[in-house]
Amino acid sequence: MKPCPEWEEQLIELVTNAFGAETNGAVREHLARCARCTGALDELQSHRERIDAAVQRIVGEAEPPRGFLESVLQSATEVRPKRRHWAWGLAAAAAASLVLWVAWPHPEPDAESLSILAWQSPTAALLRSPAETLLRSAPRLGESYGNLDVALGEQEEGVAR
Amino acid sequence: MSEFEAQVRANQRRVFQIAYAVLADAAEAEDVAQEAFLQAFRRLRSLREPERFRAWIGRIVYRLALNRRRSLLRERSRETVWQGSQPSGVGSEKDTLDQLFLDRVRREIDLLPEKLRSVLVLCAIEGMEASEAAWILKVPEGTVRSRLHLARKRLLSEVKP
Repeated sequence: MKPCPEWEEQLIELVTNAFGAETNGAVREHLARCARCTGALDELQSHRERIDAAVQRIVGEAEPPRGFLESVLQSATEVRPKRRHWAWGLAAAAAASLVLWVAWPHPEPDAESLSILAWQSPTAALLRSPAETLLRSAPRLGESYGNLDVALGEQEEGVAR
Repeated sequence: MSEFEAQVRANQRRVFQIAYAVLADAAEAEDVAQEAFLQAFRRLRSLREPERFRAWIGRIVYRLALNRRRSLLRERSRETVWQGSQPSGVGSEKDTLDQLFLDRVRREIDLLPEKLRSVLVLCAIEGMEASEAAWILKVPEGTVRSRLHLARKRLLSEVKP
């Protein structure tokens, strides 16, 4: 049975459960007055149920074959769960590095190396001037001369000489 | 292994059905379902909530099946995947629905866009809630409902009574 053309789309929406209650109400009002659309709706509903049943049958009746469980379990015995091999590898590498560093001979520095380490630039020597000492030892704003180190005077004398 | 065996025993039918729903080929579905269980076994330690195994394996098998389907479609020059072999364990289709009607529905399912087809076949699996399908497909539940509606509407208009 063909529905009223202007209501056909709404009837399809109705049987596929797309509309909210308000829209369904408008369609229902029309259906209450139209035998043609009521008949068409029944046909659509029945057709939709047939299609749903077919889809469910196509999908739902698929069963795993006999021996599927055993086959999966057998395969699982041949593989091992993934472990965090990288974490163990990293830990082993770190431990090996530590052992190597501890065991590696660390020779005492010779006289030449010590002299290089003790070397200072001429600029550094120039900075050790009486003026620099004075600047460093002079009290800053808010400080008192009373805090002046007694030994400072002797150092200054030494530098001056 | 015993815990894994229990999970395989409890979920083998569902996993196989998801694979079959996507692939429409019993032999391919068996391979994919087995591979899904093996992947799950290897990664079992990464599953923080064992009670989520069902949904977790569902997502694994769906992804594997979808990849296999895409590769099959590339390889095969045949018109549709759904016109392929029948699942094992399916009896005579003439019991309640005739073979021609089922074939038409199969063909139309296969012609649906992938997003609509996935939702339609997953939701046709017994006990599959929209929320679970949404989790497997990584889309919101509302999207599942709207796609399901569109898929049903398409089938309703394409498969004539």
